Amino acid sequence: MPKIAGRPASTVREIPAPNTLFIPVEQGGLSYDPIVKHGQKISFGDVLAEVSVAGGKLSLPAPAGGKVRIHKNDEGKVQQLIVETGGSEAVTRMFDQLKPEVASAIKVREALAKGGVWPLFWSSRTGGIPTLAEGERPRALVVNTVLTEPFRTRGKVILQRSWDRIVEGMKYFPRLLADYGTTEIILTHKRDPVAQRLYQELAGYAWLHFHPIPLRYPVENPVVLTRALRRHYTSIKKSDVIWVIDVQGLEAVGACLGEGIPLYQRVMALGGPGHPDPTHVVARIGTPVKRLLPKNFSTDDVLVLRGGLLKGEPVNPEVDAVVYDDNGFFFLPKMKKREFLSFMGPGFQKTSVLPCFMSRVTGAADSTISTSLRGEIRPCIACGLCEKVCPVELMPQIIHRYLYREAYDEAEAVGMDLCVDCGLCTFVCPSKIELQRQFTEAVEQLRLEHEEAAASESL
Amino acid sequence: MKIIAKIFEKLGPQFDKGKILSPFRPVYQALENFFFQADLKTDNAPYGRDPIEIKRFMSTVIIALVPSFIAALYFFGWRVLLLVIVSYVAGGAVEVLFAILRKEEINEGFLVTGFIFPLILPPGVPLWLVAVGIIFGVLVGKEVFGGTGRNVFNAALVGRGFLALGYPAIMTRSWMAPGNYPLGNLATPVSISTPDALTSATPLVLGKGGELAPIQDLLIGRIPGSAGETSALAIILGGVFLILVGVANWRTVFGVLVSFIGLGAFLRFLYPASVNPVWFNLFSGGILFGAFFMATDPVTGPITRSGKLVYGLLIGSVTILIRFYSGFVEGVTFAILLGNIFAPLFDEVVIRNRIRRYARER
Repeated sequence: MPKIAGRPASTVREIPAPNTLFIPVEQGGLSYDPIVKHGQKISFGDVLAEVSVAGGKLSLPAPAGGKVRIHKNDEGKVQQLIVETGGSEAVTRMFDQLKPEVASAIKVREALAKGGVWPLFWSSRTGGIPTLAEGERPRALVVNTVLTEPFRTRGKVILQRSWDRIVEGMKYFPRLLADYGTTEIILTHKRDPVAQRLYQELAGYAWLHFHPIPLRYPVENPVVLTRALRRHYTSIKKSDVIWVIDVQGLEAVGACLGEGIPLYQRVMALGGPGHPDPTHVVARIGTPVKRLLPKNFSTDDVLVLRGGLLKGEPVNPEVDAVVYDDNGFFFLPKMKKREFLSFMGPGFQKTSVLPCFMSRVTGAADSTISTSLRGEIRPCIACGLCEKVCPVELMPQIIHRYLYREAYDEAEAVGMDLCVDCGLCTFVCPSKIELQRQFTEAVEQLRLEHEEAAASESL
Repeated sequence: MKIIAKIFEKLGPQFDKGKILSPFRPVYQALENFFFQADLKTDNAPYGRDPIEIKRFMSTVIIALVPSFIAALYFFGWRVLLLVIVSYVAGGAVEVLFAILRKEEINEGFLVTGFIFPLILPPGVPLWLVAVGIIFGVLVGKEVFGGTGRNVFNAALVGRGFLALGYPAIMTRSWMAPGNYPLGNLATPVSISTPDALTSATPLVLGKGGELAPIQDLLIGRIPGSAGETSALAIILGGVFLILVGVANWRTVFGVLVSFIGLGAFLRFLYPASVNPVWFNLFSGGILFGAFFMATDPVTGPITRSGKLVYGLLIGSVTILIRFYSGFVEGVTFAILLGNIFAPLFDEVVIRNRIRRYARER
């Protein structure tokens, strides 16, 4: 991943709780039903909405106390819950603390579900939120401290801020894991002092292993992590389930189980060349995005992406608010002028996967990245850059050529379904081919075809 | 810069739909995009992109060819520039014609093909022959297959092969004697028709009879030969640059040179009477130019990384065999064209292996 300008500093700025919080009911692919009434007065941590899933109910806790308004769209469907807090910043314990040594597995799961922390886990079996049902206990729980996509909250920042909660959270892992399950911690170096401290503080509580990993996007992708783990440990069977959680999620686990505090705020990285003072911020869930913006900000000049540079989607600061899994907003300048003789310049301010810009010599970061496509759309010239960057060793240029002539079955055989949607191939392609979009559409097309085939077979 | 922008602003509407000039919009677009970055924005993730683009990709190849071009000008005079101009105009006309017919944009691939083609020709060829060759190359070697990115054969080599087979007499007698220090052939007047200082005794021809040119001449380029192929040093300079920049894959170059040197050494050891020494083979003829600039063409070579190595091995070995066991003195053109034919096969082997690997992982 080439260097991008605007790396957020490690400081964390507190965003004061606003008077109004906006909580959408569609979150994490689930549709929550409000259980509060319009106008009802609630306290911090009260359950605002629930959704039934296999094994129980997941809750959306109130990030602050106040009065609730239910906002519906034109068809009468509930869109979001609005909490008028009056500036209340109180954070109170919502339920009893559980002692890690004696807490039962069921109680731990119930608490995490009620505290809104459960959706922060990722399961290799579901490819998303794990089932609440007792049956599924993972063989390994991966704690990832390495976030490489520019720019999402750095693991180090969370570790510095919330060390105690993180250690506390890991003490409950044996309640979630299968028998003899292990906790796998992903760090940057094996000799990281963090590893030493964790080892000391958690001795006797859980089986820990530490894995150093290179800082190369997209190591934090849970599919990539679990595949690497399975290759590393040949004892993990195909049927074994692996869960992944990042450090900020682990902090929430520690706060929820150890202190009885539900998920109510997120630490986010604000970075990118469009931000004058990149740093981390901490804000309540439900805070409107416009309160995170720097002074003199204009949406005419900068596109705000929720997430990082590669997977981020644009947000509307006027309308959107912080949600449960936010960990960064990338400020991408909008393309303003058309550069003169752009392809000829030495490229001191441009970084690329291909070492043909002078920034490779000076080590500079890319400060000219914008919403510009930076080239024209051309046919594939088989340069091989996409194959070089693919984290799961696919050959996107081959898949592209199969899809170009609509040979979907061949494309699937060559691994199109193994794609983890990291976006690197599309990022890098000199011909500006929309590879990821093409693959996603083709996978969807194949899925429909398989469903149709299955349906017609069962008739 | 603003003046140029204003010119394009004025001209732009002339090429809009409905106007007489509208079929020529690809030409206007190509010129405008040459000066100003395309007015295109991302509309899905990733919203920011890598700055590498096809124009820059092709520009690096052209920059890598400049040392050979300068050597060609020095040794064979400004006539080489004339050859390049004819090549660009004639081949460019075919490119523009097809862009107009297909209503697509003009692709930059031709900028490299059009530059390489005259550099692999004898510098004394008549200008009409250059035009015939490049038109055939672009038309039959590229456009017929669907244009840039879809051609099976290297377009410049198709043109070169066509001239070698269709006009052998003209080709063999169009070699020029190289100019000498200090000004080389830079001071000789340019002749539009065939120049005077012609020769047919290239190092490869003489080598067949056992007469080996001295190595200094071969390295610097003070020998008769194709315009851009004589100076081994210039080619290596440009070629190494191209590899460092990542545009030419080192595996292809490595494969070609390793098999060429390996098989050449082996055959020399077995049959010293009929096979020339390795150093002579390497620095005479077009093997270096072919290895660095022609075999590394990404479109016509194998797509997979492992395929590229085998492809290089094939090309190097076939070149040696053609040089010493056939009637031709030079084998690079046909070796690479043969490699082009085999490239999809090498890819298929790699793909089959991968399919098995993915099936195991699922």
